[in-house]
Amino acid sequence: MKDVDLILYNGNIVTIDSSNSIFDWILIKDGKIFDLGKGNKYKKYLNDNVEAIDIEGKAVLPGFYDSHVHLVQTGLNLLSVDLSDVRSISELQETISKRAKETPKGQLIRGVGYDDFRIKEGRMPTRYELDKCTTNHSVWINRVEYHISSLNSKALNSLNIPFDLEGIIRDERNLPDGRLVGNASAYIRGQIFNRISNKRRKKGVFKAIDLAIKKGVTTIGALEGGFSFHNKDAEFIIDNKNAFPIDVNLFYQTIDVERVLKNRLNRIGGCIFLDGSFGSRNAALSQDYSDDEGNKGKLFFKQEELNNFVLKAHKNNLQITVHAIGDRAIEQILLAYEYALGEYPRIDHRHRIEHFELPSDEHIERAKKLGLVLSMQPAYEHYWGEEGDLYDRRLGDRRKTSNPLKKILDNGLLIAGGSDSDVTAIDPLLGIYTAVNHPNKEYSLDVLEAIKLFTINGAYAVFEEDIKGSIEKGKYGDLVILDKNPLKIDKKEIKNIEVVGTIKEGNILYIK
Amino acid sequence: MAKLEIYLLGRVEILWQGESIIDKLSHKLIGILSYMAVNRENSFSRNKIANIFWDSSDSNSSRYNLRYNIWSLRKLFKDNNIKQDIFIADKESIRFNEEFNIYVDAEDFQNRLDNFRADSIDNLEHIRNLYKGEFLEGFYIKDSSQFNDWLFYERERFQRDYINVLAKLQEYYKSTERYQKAIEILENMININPLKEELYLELIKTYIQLDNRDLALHHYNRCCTVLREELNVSPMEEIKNIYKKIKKGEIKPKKEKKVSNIRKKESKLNLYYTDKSGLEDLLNRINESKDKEVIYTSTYPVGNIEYYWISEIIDKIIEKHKEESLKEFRRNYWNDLSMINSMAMEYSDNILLNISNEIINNKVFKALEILMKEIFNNKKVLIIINHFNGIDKKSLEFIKYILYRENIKNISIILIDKDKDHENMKEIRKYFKIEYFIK
Repeated sequence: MKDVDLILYNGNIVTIDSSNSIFDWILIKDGKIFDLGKGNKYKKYLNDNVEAIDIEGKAVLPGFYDSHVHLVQTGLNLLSVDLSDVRSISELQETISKRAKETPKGQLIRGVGYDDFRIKEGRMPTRYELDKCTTNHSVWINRVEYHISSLNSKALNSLNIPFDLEGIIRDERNLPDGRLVGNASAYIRGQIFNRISNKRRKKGVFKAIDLAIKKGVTTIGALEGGFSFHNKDAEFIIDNKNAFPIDVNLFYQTIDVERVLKNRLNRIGGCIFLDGSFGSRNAALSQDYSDDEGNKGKLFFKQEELNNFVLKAHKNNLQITVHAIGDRAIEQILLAYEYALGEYPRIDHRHRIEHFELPSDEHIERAKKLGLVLSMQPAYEHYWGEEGDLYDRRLGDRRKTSNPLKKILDNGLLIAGGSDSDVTAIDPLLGIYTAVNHPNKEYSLDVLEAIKLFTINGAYAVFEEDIKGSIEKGKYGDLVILDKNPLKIDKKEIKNIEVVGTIKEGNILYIK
Repeated sequence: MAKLEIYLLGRVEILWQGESIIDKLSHKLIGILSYMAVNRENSFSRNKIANIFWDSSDSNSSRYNLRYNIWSLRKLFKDNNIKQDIFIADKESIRFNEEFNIYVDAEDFQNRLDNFRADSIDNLEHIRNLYKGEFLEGFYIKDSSQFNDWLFYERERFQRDYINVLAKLQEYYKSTERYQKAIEILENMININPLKEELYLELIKTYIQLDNRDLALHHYNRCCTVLREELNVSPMEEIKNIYKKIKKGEIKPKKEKKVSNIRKKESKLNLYYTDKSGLEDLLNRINESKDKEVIYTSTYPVGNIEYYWISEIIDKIIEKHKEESLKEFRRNYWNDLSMINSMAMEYSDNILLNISNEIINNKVFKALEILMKEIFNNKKVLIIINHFNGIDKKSLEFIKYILYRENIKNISIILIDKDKDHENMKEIRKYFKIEYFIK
């Protein structure tokens, strides 16, 4: 009989335990951490039946958490045609025609990332233009932020459209020309996602999970369903929860408390959009956008409505989280939490705010007082935080206050790190790198703090800190092996660290 | 007698002597049959059909394809020992043989809508039952853009008509306090457009009438969830207010006030009242982009000549439109109109119809409605009626008739006179919503 199942030795085991211990070896038995230590004590467990890996001085960290992923949409987008490099409608036609030749007849071809501002014609394609690519496939083109779309005639014909919907663009004969905006685009999006088979969802999700595993992720917070997504995505996760090779914790993005309770989930929300995004200039700000005078963005909820939802979910003992980016949206959710917790105080609720990109000092203090967990995406700063980048263009000087990670931790709050995939790719090391090398130096974290965002804090944010998130006896054997120890290299090099192995409950899922 | 049944409202189905033959027909043949069936009395140019269904660049080949398909269809029926030919065809044209027993659900739908008793509840319910789904639901011919465009047009037309029928039924059931039926109809409407808030509001109000507070609140929550998940918006204020009142117990069922069994309706045809001094400003407002065809008419305010205004508008239509398009209008309708208008005689058979006054009304109203519908053809038209208070009784009835039925799309009517409390105005106001524009 085996005493243990897996031994990793000769390594730098960065445990992230409360003493920040570093060990040399680790033993895993029945999926859990059996023992760990320094020196040669592991040797007594070595025998022919035990898998033992000399990791040659490499670093072992707790398997990463990505606390904010739209997993099903990430998966479906991986199966779609990427149009982000297309610069004209004829290029688009070429790309779609090419994909049509490789795609079985009858299958939907979906294009994502199309940006009409970068297209020579400056508009979405019409169905007549898309019909030239293929008449054997339904074609659906999504604008980069998904709120505008185009369909070819076959796709338009196959859907049941209420013709009195607002947002159907028509040609000179008063017939739909295939372009859809507003309500019509949202409705069609729902219709198409409703028709996408779970087989296809599975294909996409497993592809996305494979990529996540290669980045060292062993637990994903999957924010699914609701506006701009589809409830079938959430139901797919519920139905397949045990089929995934890594842990997937569902956040059902709905305001329907009964539905969540019926599904025996203990949390609700995710990207329940209180506001929009900086990219679309509809994140809700207290001052105008720097590049759009008179525009302060938009709040999608009335305070009373949000209060009612939060109170109802809170009273039902659910953990709650919503999307709030701009300071006005952050203010709104803080008021709602204050209202609910004022009415029904509860210890250790771990209610969260997703993004929390532009909080004021007062917001941070109030969040601390409420005992909130902040789910943030440090990699935003990598893509948008430097001078001349998106934050600078949209916010001007206010970019110096965006994602103030250090200030938040110093106030005693806890941050869980995520990618918001597929807004940014699942890549915890990039998140750690950016948190350490924040464009606003005073908000930079030290490396250990940054690692915690994607390990123990991620676990805490979903009530799993007793079983995962650090390398300690009795916890699950979820590990990531890195070619270099982030604690020991130049902080600028962190983004070049490679994941060389991912282990989930003692099973090696990936080894390079 | 053998019967061919063509069902186009919903997934297409074709039955021959009660048995489905859809599997024996090619996709194009189904398309051709459907296309012809919707206008069954028409004769179709072979070239036109061939061009619609096959590449028009090679007319010989497309005509050959059509010939082959028609032959295969004829063969199918001949195999069934039927002596009659389904089509009457010559070199240039083709049409269904009127002798052949054919039922088309879409035709039944249309005839029942056009029937002057269209608004009887039995008829409306029958129409509702005919609509099993979208016109030719899911059907598509991959290399025939003309056919597919026609399909979009027809699908939209049938859907709009169906929604109008549902709206009338819902209105009727509500006004007669048959609330469960009204709910059933509202659910039909939500099924077509689940994003239409007004339907949820109506549903909530109907449950209140049933004194079912729980279900009223349930549908409020349903509305909130649908709007949040589909559009990320809050419900409109009116829905929120009614929710608050239900919560506070401030809202109770109330008896519907009946007005001749029909509640005042907000006609989709825009109806305005102004006096002469306000006309210019009103026109600037509602026809700012000058995209509406304006027809200026007047009544005969010094004496009551029956059908005076109706005759006047027929004159204006004949004056304004080309002879060819007027000649296309069916002769039997011109015959009906010629009973009260001499200019219409030019297009009629010039025969004297001997019918009762009551039937004249029905025939004239129907014929004029169809004339307006066909000639205006969904274009935006603005009809101005000067000295409205002097309008004759028959013409007043006709105006109520078209306002209620809403079969002529995109028309607006401006009523001009000095006294908005005149009995003619009161009569219109009793049934329809009017926008007043008084300087």
